[in-house]
Amino acid sequence: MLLSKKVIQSDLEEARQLEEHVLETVQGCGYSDAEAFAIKLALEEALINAIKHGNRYDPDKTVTVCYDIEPDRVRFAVADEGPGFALCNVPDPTADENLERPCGRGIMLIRAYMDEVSYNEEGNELRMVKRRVEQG
Amino acid sequence: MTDFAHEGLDLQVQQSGSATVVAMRGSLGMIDVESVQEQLRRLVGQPEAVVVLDMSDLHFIGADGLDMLLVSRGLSRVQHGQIRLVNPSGEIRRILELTRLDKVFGIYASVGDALGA
Repeated sequence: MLLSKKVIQSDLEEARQLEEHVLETVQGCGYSDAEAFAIKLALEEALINAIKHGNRYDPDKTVTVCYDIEPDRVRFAVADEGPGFALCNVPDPTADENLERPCGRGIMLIRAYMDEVSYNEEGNELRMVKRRVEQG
Repeated sequence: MTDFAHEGLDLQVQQSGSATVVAMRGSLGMIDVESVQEQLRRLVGQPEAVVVLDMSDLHFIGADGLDMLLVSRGLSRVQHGQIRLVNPSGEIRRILELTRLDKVFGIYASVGDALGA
């Protein structure tokens, strides 16, 4: 069960404020710089995708973020009100023919930096987990 | 420790001969991308402009920031100009490598190297 739930408008400033709150908590829990970077990156990409591609900046649609920040792992679920998408339809941004296209890197970065990433069947809710590495 | 919760972006723009050096300090987050894009658009909009982006003190960039770099590169090429990246360290370099954008942009060890290229 995810402990905190925030509903924001399709607005980047609201997304930034939520991200700020989450990062304060994450860094307060003692996560390393590398882990905090990964969490910031993944949450930012998830929020931008939800606002921009999911809700298409529609002010009547919201983004729901559930999160659970524990000392050993962070979990997020980010849901928008768009129709969703199929991961298999997203072009590989690292393919030679797509390298110079300015799009499609958010999802690959989330997958690269988080430990677990999945979507609901409709493709409009992203769930992701980052585990903390024990510091020696 | 980098303050990822609150850190913003500071741009210092300097002319160096015929090139423009832009030192990027802090985090290039979702809120900053549009204004940075606008500043870069003005710089690369000049014919044959060479714009050197010093990333030595840049701590964060996301996909929108990378897209912004690619759009600026496209505008620059129309004007027969160039964008050169300098010393992206740590996670910034890793992101450029993961996305293979290190193959697209010229990356230099120092501002001096970029200016002399």
